[in-house]
Amino acid sequence: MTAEGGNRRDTAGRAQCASRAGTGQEVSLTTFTLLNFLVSTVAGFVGALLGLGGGVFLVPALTLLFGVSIGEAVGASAVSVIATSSGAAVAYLRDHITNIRIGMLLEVGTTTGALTGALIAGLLNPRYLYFFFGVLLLYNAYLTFRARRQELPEGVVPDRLALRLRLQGAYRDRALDRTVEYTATRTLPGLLVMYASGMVAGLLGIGAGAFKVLAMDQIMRLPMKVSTATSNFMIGVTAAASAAIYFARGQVNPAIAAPVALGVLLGASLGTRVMNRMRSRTLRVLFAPVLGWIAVQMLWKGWVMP
Amino acid sequence: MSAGADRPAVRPFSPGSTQPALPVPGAGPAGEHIERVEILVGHLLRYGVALAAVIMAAGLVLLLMRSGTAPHPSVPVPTSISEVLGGLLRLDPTALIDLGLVVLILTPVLRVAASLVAFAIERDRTYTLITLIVLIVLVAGFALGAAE
Repeated sequence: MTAEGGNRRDTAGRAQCASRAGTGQEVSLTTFTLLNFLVSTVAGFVGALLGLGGGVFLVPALTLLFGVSIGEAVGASAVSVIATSSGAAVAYLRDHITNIRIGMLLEVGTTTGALTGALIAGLLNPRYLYFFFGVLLLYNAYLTFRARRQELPEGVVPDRLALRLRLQGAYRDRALDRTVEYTATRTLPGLLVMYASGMVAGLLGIGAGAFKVLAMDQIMRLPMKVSTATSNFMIGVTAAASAAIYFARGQVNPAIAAPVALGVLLGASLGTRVMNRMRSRTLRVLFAPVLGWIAVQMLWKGWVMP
Repeated sequence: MSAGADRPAVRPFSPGSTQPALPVPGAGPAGEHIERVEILVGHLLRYGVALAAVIMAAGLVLLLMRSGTAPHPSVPVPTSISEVLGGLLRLDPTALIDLGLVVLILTPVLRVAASLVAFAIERDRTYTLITLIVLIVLVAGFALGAAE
Protein backbone atom coordinates (compact mmCIF):
# COMPACT_ATOMS: atom_id res chain seq x y z
CA MET A 1 0.00 0.00 0.00
CA THR A 2 1.37 3.41 -0.87
CA ALA A 3 1.93 5.51 2.21
CA GLU A 4 1.76 8.83 0.43
CA GLY A 5 -0.10 10.16 -2.51
CA GLY A 6 -1.77 7.00 -3.72
CA ASN A 7 -5.15 7.77 -2.26
CA ARG A 8 -5.01 11.53 -2.06
CA ARG A 9 -8.04 13.12 -3.58
CA ASP A 10 -8.09 15.27 -6.66
CA THR A 11 -9.92 18.49 -5.88
CA ALA A 12 -10.44 19.60 -9.46
CA GLY A 13 -11.81 16.22 -10.48
CA ARG A 14 -14.27 16.23 -7.68
CA ALA A 15 -15.53 19.73 -8.37
CA GLN A 16 -16.17 18.70 -11.96
CA CYS A 17 -17.93 15.61 -10.76
CA ALA A 18 -20.18 17.65 -8.50
CA SER A 19 -21.30 20.04 -11.19
CA ARG A 20 -21.75 17.21 -13.68
CA ALA A 21 -24.12 15.55 -11.25
CA GLY A 22 -26.44 18.50 -11.65
CA THR A 23 -25.83 20.42 -8.44
CA GLY A 24 -25.09 23.38 -10.67
CA GLN A 25 -22.65 25.14 -8.43
CA GLU A 26 -19.88 24.26 -6.07
CA VAL A 27 -21.09 23.48 -2.58
CA SER A 28 -18.85 24.23 0.37
CA LEU A 29 -17.82 21.53 2.77
CA THR A 30 -19.92 23.09 5.55
CA THR A 31 -23.11 23.13 3.47
CA PHE A 32 -22.44 19.61 2.24
CA THR A 33 -21.86 18.42 5.81
CA LEU A 34 -25.14 19.90 7.04
CA LEU A 35 -27.19 18.53 4.14
CA ASN A 36 -25.50 15.16 4.42
CA PHE A 37 -26.19 15.10 8.16
CA LEU A 38 -29.89 15.79 7.58
CA VAL A 39 -30.28 13.12 4.89
CA SER A 40 -28.40 10.65 7.09
CA THR A 41 -30.64 11.39 10.06
CA VAL A 42 -33.67 10.42 7.98
CA ALA A 43 -31.88 7.31 6.69
CA GLY A 44 -30.99 6.27 10.24
CA PHE A 45 -34.54 6.85 11.45
CA VAL A 46 -36.13 4.71 8.74
CA GLY A 47 -33.34 2.14 8.99
CA ALA A 48 -33.88 1.68 12.73
CA LEU A 49 -37.65 1.31 12.27
CA LEU A 50 -37.44 -1.24 9.47
CA GLY A 51 -34.28 -3.18 10.29
CA LEU A 52 -32.39 -1.97 7.23
CA GLY A 53 -29.07 -0.23 6.88
CA GLY A 54 -29.32 3.30 5.62
CA GLY A 55 -27.67 2.35 2.34
CA VAL A 56 -30.85 2.09 0.32
CA PHE A 57 -31.49 5.80 0.77
CA LEU A 58 -27.96 7.03 1.31
CA VAL A 59 -26.22 5.74 -1.80
CA PRO A 60 -28.71 7.39 -4.21
CA ALA A 61 -28.75 10.58 -2.12
CA LEU A 62 -24.96 10.84 -2.01
CA THR A 63 -24.40 10.03 -5.68
CA LEU A 64 -27.39 11.77 -7.27
CA LEU A 65 -27.81 14.81 -4.99
CA PHE A 66 -24.26 15.49 -3.89
CA GLY A 67 -22.22 14.09 -6.77
CA VAL A 68 -20.16 11.78 -4.56
CA SER A 69 -18.42 8.98 -6.47
CA ILE A 70 -20.12 5.59 -6.24
CA GLY A 71 -17.07 4.04 -4.55
CA GLU A 72 -17.06 6.56 -1.72
CA ALA A 73 -20.85 6.43 -1.42
CA VAL A 74 -20.63 2.66 -0.91
CA GLY A 75 -17.88 3.15 1.67
CA ALA A 76 -19.98 5.71 3.57
CA SER A 77 -23.01 3.44 3.29
CA ALA A 78 -21.14 0.52 4.92
CA VAL A 79 -20.29 2.85 7.80
CA SER A 80 -23.93 3.95 7.99
CA VAL A 81 -25.09 0.34 8.33
CA ILE A 82 -22.85 -0.13 11.37
CA ALA A 83 -24.08 3.16 12.83
CA THR A 84 -27.73 2.21 12.31
CA SER A 85 -27.16 -1.22 13.79
CA SER A 86 -25.23 -0.13 16.86
CA GLY A 87 -27.38 2.95 17.43
CA ALA A 88 -30.60 0.95 17.32
CA ALA A 89 -29.32 -2.18 19.03
CA VAL A 90 -28.73 -0.42 22.35
CA ALA A 91 -32.39 0.56 22.77
CA TYR A 92 -33.86 -2.64 21.32
CA LEU A 93 -31.69 -4.77 23.59
CA ARG A 94 -32.84 -2.76 26.61
CA ASP A 95 -36.48 -3.29 25.62
CA HIS A 96 -35.83 -7.01 24.98
CA ILE A 97 -37.20 -6.77 21.44
CA THR A 98 -33.96 -8.08 19.97
CA ASN A 99 -33.55 -11.84 20.19
CA ILE A 100 -29.83 -12.39 20.65
CA ARG A 101 -29.98 -16.16 20.10
CA ILE A 102 -31.91 -15.89 16.85
CA GLY A 103 -29.60 -13.10 15.72
CA MET A 104 -26.46 -15.05 16.50
CA LEU A 105 -27.74 -18.25 14.86
CA LEU A 106 -28.77 -16.48 11.67
CA GLU A 107 -25.47 -14.61 11.69
CA VAL A 108 -23.83 -17.98 10.99
CA GLY A 109 -25.80 -18.05 7.74
CA THR A 110 -25.06 -14.47 6.70
CA THR A 111 -21.34 -14.49 7.49
CA THR A 112 -20.63 -17.81 5.75
CA GLY A 113 -22.82 -16.63 2.88
CA ALA A 114 -20.90 -13.37 2.59
CA LEU A 115 -17.62 -15.25 2.59
CA THR A 116 -18.88 -17.61 -0.14
CA GLY A 117 -20.08 -14.62 -2.12
CA ALA A 118 -16.69 -12.96 -1.92
CA LEU A 119 -14.99 -16.19 -2.99
CA ILE A 120 -17.21 -16.96 -5.99
CA ALA A 121 -17.48 -13.35 -7.18
CA GLY A 122 -16.61 -13.35 -10.84
CA LEU A 123 -18.02 -16.82 -11.49
CA LEU A 124 -21.59 -15.60 -11.59
CA ASN A 125 -22.98 -12.88 -13.78
CA PRO A 126 -24.27 -10.21 -11.37
CA ARG A 127 -26.80 -9.01 -13.95
CA TYR A 128 -28.96 -12.11 -13.53
CA LEU A 129 -28.57 -11.97 -9.76
CA TYR A 130 -29.87 -8.41 -9.77
CA PHE A 131 -32.86 -9.44 -11.87
CA PHE A 132 -33.56 -12.54 -9.81
CA PHE A 133 -33.44 -10.77 -6.47
CA GLY A 134 -35.21 -7.71 -7.81
CA VAL A 135 -38.19 -9.82 -8.87
CA LEU A 136 -38.06 -11.78 -5.62
CA LEU A 137 -38.19 -8.55 -3.59
CA LEU A 138 -41.05 -7.19 -5.69
CA TYR A 139 -43.02 -10.33 -4.95
CA ASN A 140 -42.21 -9.99 -1.25
CA ALA A 141 -43.26 -6.35 -1.27
CA TYR A 142 -46.63 -7.58 -2.49
CA LEU A 143 -46.78 -10.29 0.20
CA THR A 144 -45.90 -7.79 2.91
CA PHE A 145 -48.53 -5.41 1.66
CA ARG A 146 -51.11 -8.20 1.57
CA ALA A 147 -50.30 -9.10 5.19
CA ARG A 148 -50.59 -5.47 6.28
CA ARG A 149 -53.54 -6.10 8.58
CA GLN A 150 -51.70 -8.82 10.48
CA GLU A 151 -50.50 -7.46 13.82
CA LEU A 152 -48.87 -10.61 15.20
CA PRO A 153 -48.21 -14.05 13.71
CA GLU A 154 -50.85 -16.52 14.81
CA GLY A 155 -50.84 -20.25 15.43
CA VAL A 156 -47.08 -20.66 15.07
CA VAL A 157 -45.95 -24.19 15.93
CA PRO A 158 -42.20 -24.34 16.64
CA ASP A 159 -40.19 -26.87 14.64
CA ARG A 160 -37.74 -29.27 16.28
CA LEU A 161 -34.69 -27.14 15.61
CA ALA A 162 -36.38 -24.05 17.06
CA LEU A 163 -37.17 -26.02 20.21
CA ARG A 164 -33.67 -27.43 20.45
CA LEU A 165 -32.06 -24.02 19.97
CA ARG A 166 -34.66 -22.31 22.20
CA LEU A 167 -35.71 -19.77 19.60
CA GLN A 168 -38.45 -18.31 21.74
CA GLY A 169 -38.83 -15.07 23.56
CA ALA A 170 -41.10 -12.38 24.87
CA TYR A 171 -41.16 -8.61 24.74
CA ARG A 172 -43.33 -5.85 26.05
CA ASP A 173 -45.28 -4.32 23.16
CA ARG A 174 -46.01 -0.70 24.00
CA ALA A 175 -48.48 -0.18 21.17
CA LEU A 176 -50.55 -3.18 22.28
CA ASP A 177 -49.71 -2.57 25.95
CA ARG A 178 -49.06 -6.22 26.69
CA THR A 179 -46.29 -8.80 26.74
CA VAL A 180 -46.01 -10.72 23.49
CA GLU A 181 -44.63 -14.25 23.63
CA TYR A 182 -43.44 -15.79 20.41
CA THR A 183 -41.61 -18.74 18.94
CA ALA A 184 -39.77 -19.31 15.68
CA THR A 185 -40.59 -22.00 13.16
CA ARG A 186 -39.02 -23.32 9.90
CA THR A 187 -35.57 -22.65 11.30
CA LEU A 188 -33.59 -24.42 8.58
CA PRO A 189 -35.30 -22.68 5.63
CA GLY A 190 -34.79 -19.38 7.48
CA LEU A 191 -31.11 -20.15 7.92
CA LEU A 192 -30.77 -21.06 4.21
CA VAL A 193 -32.37 -17.79 3.13
CA MET A 194 -29.93 -16.00 5.44
CA TYR A 195 -27.06 -17.81 3.76
CA ALA A 196 -28.37 -16.70 0.36
CA SER A 197 -28.82 -13.14 1.59
CA GLY A 198 -25.27 -13.10 2.91
CA MET A 199 -24.04 -14.39 -0.44
CA VAL A 200 -25.93 -11.67 -2.32
CA ALA A 201 -24.52 -9.09 0.08
CA GLY A 202 -21.02 -10.38 -0.60
CA LEU A 203 -21.55 -10.48 -4.37
CA LEU A 204 -23.50 -7.30 -4.93
CA GLY A 205 -22.27 -5.22 -2.02
CA ILE A 206 -25.73 -4.56 -0.64
CA GLY A 207 -26.64 -4.67 3.02
CA ALA A 208 -29.39 -7.25 2.55
CA GLY A 209 -31.22 -6.10 5.69
CA ALA A 210 -34.46 -6.46 3.74
CA PHE A 211 -33.79 -10.19 3.24
CA LYS A 212 -33.08 -10.65 6.93
CA VAL A 213 -36.38 -9.06 7.93
CA LEU A 214 -38.22 -11.12 5.31
CA ALA A 215 -36.64 -14.39 6.44
CA MET A 216 -37.59 -13.76 10.06
CA ASP A 217 -41.01 -12.27 9.38
CA GLN A 218 -42.31 -14.44 6.56
CA ILE A 219 -40.40 -17.72 6.89
CA MET A 220 -39.67 -18.08 10.59
CA ARG A 221 -42.87 -16.22 11.42
CA LEU A 222 -41.52 -14.00 14.18
CA PRO A 223 -43.36 -10.82 15.15
CA MET A 224 -42.53 -7.88 12.87
CA LYS A 225 -40.92 -5.89 15.68
CA VAL A 226 -38.68 -8.79 16.69
CA SER A 227 -37.71 -9.23 13.04
CA THR A 228 -36.71 -5.61 12.47
CA ALA A 229 -34.95 -5.25 15.84
CA THR A 230 -33.01 -8.50 15.40
CA SER A 231 -32.14 -7.56 11.82
CA ASN A 232 -30.82 -4.24 13.13
CA PHE A 233 -28.69 -6.15 15.59
CA MET A 234 -27.30 -8.41 12.86
CA ILE A 235 -26.57 -6.02 9.99
CA GLY A 236 -23.72 -4.34 11.88
CA VAL A 237 -21.75 -7.57 12.18
CA THR A 238 -21.70 -8.35 8.45
CA ALA A 239 -21.19 -4.70 7.55
CA ALA A 240 -18.15 -4.44 9.86
CA ALA A 241 -16.22 -6.86 7.66
CA SER A 242 -17.00 -4.99 4.44
CA ALA A 243 -16.47 -1.57 6.04
CA ALA A 244 -13.00 -2.65 7.14
CA ILE A 245 -12.20 -3.64 3.56
CA TYR A 246 -13.46 -0.33 2.14
CA PHE A 247 -11.51 1.49 4.83
CA ALA A 248 -8.28 -0.26 3.89
CA ARG A 249 -8.89 0.58 0.22
CA GLY A 250 -9.20 4.29 1.07
CA GLN A 251 -12.85 4.27 0.01
CA VAL A 252 -14.06 5.70 3.31
CA ASN A 253 -13.70 9.47 3.00
CA PRO A 254 -13.79 10.99 6.51
CA ALA A 255 -15.47 14.19 5.27
CA ILE A 256 -18.37 12.11 3.92
CA ALA A 257 -18.47 9.29 6.45
CA ALA A 258 -18.37 11.45 9.62
CA PRO A 259 -21.59 13.42 8.96
CA VAL A 260 -23.19 10.19 7.69
CA ALA A 261 -22.28 8.25 10.83
CA LEU A 262 -23.29 11.05 13.21
CA GLY A 263 -26.58 11.74 11.40
CA VAL A 264 -27.45 8.06 11.22
CA LEU A 265 -26.70 7.58 14.93
CA LEU A 266 -29.05 10.44 15.79
CA GLY A 267 -31.76 9.19 13.41
CA ALA A 268 -31.48 5.62 14.67
CA SER A 269 -31.84 6.60 18.31
CA LEU A 270 -34.92 8.68 17.39
CA GLY A 271 -36.32 5.72 15.44
CA THR A 272 -35.97 3.34 18.36
CA ARG A 273 -38.03 5.67 20.52
CA VAL A 274 -40.88 5.50 18.04
CA MET A 275 -40.79 1.88 16.90
CA ASN A 276 -42.13 0.07 19.96
CA ARG A 277 -45.02 2.53 20.15
CA MET A 278 -46.03 1.82 16.57
CA ARG A 279 -48.36 -0.93 15.44
CA SER A 280 -46.72 -3.74 13.52
CA ARG A 281 -49.34 -3.04 10.86
CA THR A 282 -47.91 0.44 10.41
CA LEU A 283 -44.41 -1.03 10.13
CA ARG A 284 -45.61 -3.38 7.38
CA VAL A 285 -47.29 -0.55 5.50
CA LEU A 286 -43.96 1.32 5.61
CA PHE A 287 -41.89 -1.76 4.80
CA ALA A 288 -43.77 -2.78 1.62
CA PRO A 289 -42.99 0.35 -0.46
CA VAL A 290 -39.37 0.37 0.76
CA LEU A 291 -39.04 -3.22 -0.47
CA GLY A 292 -40.51 -2.13 -3.79
CA TRP A 293 -37.98 0.71 -3.96
CA ILE A 294 -35.06 -1.66 -3.28
CA ALA A 295 -36.43 -4.05 -5.93
CA VAL A 296 -36.64 -1.29 -8.54
CA GLN A 297 -33.08 -0.21 -7.71
CA MET A 298 -31.84 -3.77 -8.20
CA LEU A 299 -33.70 -4.25 -11.47
CA TRP A 300 -32.34 -0.92 -12.69
CA LYS A 301 -28.77 -1.89 -11.82
CA GLY A 302 -29.17 -5.19 -13.65
CA TRP A 303 -30.63 -3.36 -16.64
CA VAL A 304 -27.90 -0.71 -17.03
CA MET A 305 -25.10 -3.16 -16.32
CA PRO A 306 -22.76 -3.50 -19.33
CA MET B 1 -54.83 -17.98 18.30
CA SER B 2 -52.83 -14.94 19.21
CA ALA B 3 -49.30 -15.80 20.22
CA GLY B 4 -49.38 -16.76 23.85
CA ALA B 5 -52.07 -14.31 24.92
CA ASP B 6 -54.32 -16.82 26.63
CA ARG B 7 -52.22 -19.90 27.12
CA PRO B 8 -49.06 -20.75 28.99
CA ALA B 9 -45.81 -20.29 27.13
CA VAL B 10 -44.63 -23.07 24.84
CA ARG B 11 -42.38 -25.28 26.89
CA PRO B 12 -39.52 -26.25 24.65
CA PHE B 13 -38.39 -29.34 26.50
CA SER B 14 -39.64 -32.84 27.12
CA PRO B 15 -39.85 -34.42 30.57
CA GLY B 16 -36.44 -35.55 31.69
CA SER B 17 -34.65 -33.10 29.44
CA THR B 18 -31.94 -31.03 31.08
CA GLN B 19 -32.64 -28.00 28.94
CA PRO B 20 -33.37 -24.81 30.84
CA ALA B 21 -36.84 -23.34 30.72
CA LEU B 22 -38.12 -20.76 28.29
CA PRO B 23 -36.02 -17.61 28.66
CA VAL B 24 -38.73 -15.03 29.14
CA PRO B 25 -37.25 -11.79 30.49
CA GLY B 26 -37.80 -11.64 34.20
CA ALA B 27 -39.24 -15.14 34.32
CA GLY B 28 -36.86 -16.84 36.69
CA PRO B 29 -33.33 -18.18 36.36
CA ALA B 30 -33.48 -18.90 32.63
CA GLY B 31 -34.72 -15.40 31.93
CA GLU B 32 -31.84 -13.87 33.86
CA HIS B 33 -29.46 -16.07 31.91
CA ILE B 34 -29.99 -14.40 28.54
CA GLU B 35 -30.57 -11.06 30.20
CA ARG B 36 -27.04 -10.93 31.57
CA VAL B 37 -25.68 -11.46 28.06
CA GLU B 38 -27.96 -8.72 26.80
CA ILE B 39 -26.88 -6.25 29.47
CA LEU B 40 -23.19 -6.87 28.82
CA VAL B 41 -23.58 -6.55 25.06
CA GLY B 42 -25.78 -3.47 25.48
CA HIS B 43 -23.20 -1.69 27.65
CA LEU B 44 -20.39 -2.50 25.26
CA LEU B 45 -22.38 -1.12 22.33
CA ARG B 46 -23.39 2.02 24.16
CA TYR B 47 -19.87 2.97 25.24
CA GLY B 48 -18.32 2.00 21.91
CA VAL B 49 -20.83 4.06 19.95
CA ALA B 50 -20.60 7.05 22.30
CA LEU B 51 -16.80 7.04 22.12
CA ALA B 52 -16.84 6.80 18.32
CA ALA B 53 -19.42 9.61 18.07
CA VAL B 54 -17.46 11.97 20.32
CA ILE B 55 -14.19 11.41 18.44
CA MET B 56 -15.87 11.80 15.03
CA ALA B 57 -17.74 14.93 16.10
CA ALA B 58 -14.54 16.52 17.40
CA GLY B 59 -12.74 15.68 14.16
CA LEU B 60 -15.60 17.00 12.05
CA VAL B 61 -15.76 20.31 13.92
CA LEU B 62 -11.98 20.73 13.53
CA LEU B 63 -12.24 19.90 9.84
CA LEU B 64 -15.01 22.44 9.26
CA MET B 65 -13.11 25.11 11.18
CA ARG B 66 -10.07 24.57 8.99
CA SER B 67 -11.54 24.00 5.56
CA GLY B 68 -15.28 24.65 5.83
CA THR B 69 -15.36 26.84 2.73
CA ALA B 70 -13.40 24.39 0.60
CA PRO B 71 -15.33 22.48 -2.06
CA HIS B 72 -16.86 19.28 -0.74
CA PRO B 73 -15.63 16.56 -0.01
CA SER B 74 -12.11 16.99 -1.30
CA VAL B 75 -10.28 15.74 1.71
CA PRO B 76 -7.19 13.56 1.78
CA VAL B 77 -7.82 10.06 3.03
CA PRO B 78 -5.24 8.45 5.31
CA THR B 79 -5.38 4.75 4.62
CA SER B 80 -2.73 3.13 6.78
CA ILE B 81 -2.49 2.84 10.52
CA SER B 82 0.81 4.73 10.56
CA GLU B 83 -0.74 7.54 8.56
CA VAL B 84 -3.64 7.77 11.01
CA LEU B 85 -1.29 7.72 14.00
CA GLY B 86 0.94 10.39 12.48
CA GLY B 87 -2.12 12.51 11.76
CA LEU B 88 -3.35 12.13 15.32
CA LEU B 89 -0.07 13.48 16.65
CA ARG B 90 -0.48 16.50 14.40
CA LEU B 91 -4.14 16.82 15.49
CA ASP B 92 -5.15 16.27 11.88
CA PRO B 93 -8.97 16.38 11.79
CA THR B 94 -9.29 13.61 9.21
CA ALA B 95 -7.09 11.31 11.26
CA LEU B 96 -9.30 12.01 14.28
CA ILE B 97 -12.42 11.15 12.26
CA ASP B 98 -10.71 7.99 11.04
CA LEU B 99 -9.97 6.95 14.62
CA GLY B 100 -13.68 7.37 15.41
CA LEU B 101 -14.59 5.33 12.33
CA VAL B 102 -12.22 2.54 13.39
CA VAL B 103 -13.85 2.46 16.84
CA LEU B 104 -17.28 2.35 15.18
CA ILE B 105 -16.26 -0.48 12.84
CA LEU B 106 -14.74 -2.49 15.68
CA THR B 107 -17.81 -2.21 17.94
CA PRO B 108 -19.89 -4.98 16.30
CA VAL B 109 -16.91 -7.32 16.23
CA LEU B 110 -16.19 -6.70 19.90
CA ARG B 111 -19.89 -7.27 20.52
CA VAL B 112 -19.66 -10.76 19.03
CA ALA B 113 -16.55 -11.44 21.13
CA ALA B 114 -18.35 -10.23 24.28
CA SER B 115 -21.33 -12.49 23.53
CA LEU B 116 -18.92 -15.40 23.15
CA VAL B 117 -17.46 -14.76 26.60
CA ALA B 118 -20.92 -14.28 28.10
CA PHE B 119 -22.31 -17.51 26.61
CA ALA B 120 -19.20 -19.38 27.77
CA ILE B 121 -19.58 -18.06 31.33
CA GLU B 122 -23.20 -19.17 31.26
CA ARG B 123 -21.98 -22.61 30.12
CA ASP B 124 -24.33 -22.45 27.15
CA ARG B 125 -22.37 -24.81 24.91
CA THR B 126 -24.58 -24.62 21.83
CA TYR B 127 -24.52 -20.85 21.66
CA THR B 128 -20.85 -20.60 22.59
CA LEU B 129 -20.16 -22.79 19.56
CA ILE B 130 -22.51 -20.79 17.31
CA THR B 131 -20.93 -17.50 18.37
CA LEU B 132 -17.45 -18.94 17.91
CA ILE B 133 -18.31 -19.91 14.32
CA VAL B 134 -19.55 -16.38 13.61
CA LEU B 135 -16.37 -14.88 15.06
CA ILE B 136 -14.08 -17.21 13.09
CA VAL B 137 -15.90 -16.48 9.82
CA LEU B 138 -15.72 -12.74 10.55
CA VAL B 139 -11.98 -12.88 11.20
CA ALA B 140 -11.56 -14.95 8.02
CA GLY B 141 -13.49 -12.26 6.15
CA PHE B 142 -11.22 -9.53 7.52
CA ALA B 143 -8.15 -11.56 6.58
CA LEU B 144 -9.50 -12.18 3.08
CA GLY B 145 -10.16 -8.47 2.66
CA ALA B 146 -6.72 -7.53 3.94
CA ALA B 147 -5.05 -10.02 1.60
CA GLU B 148 -6.85 -8.57 -1.40
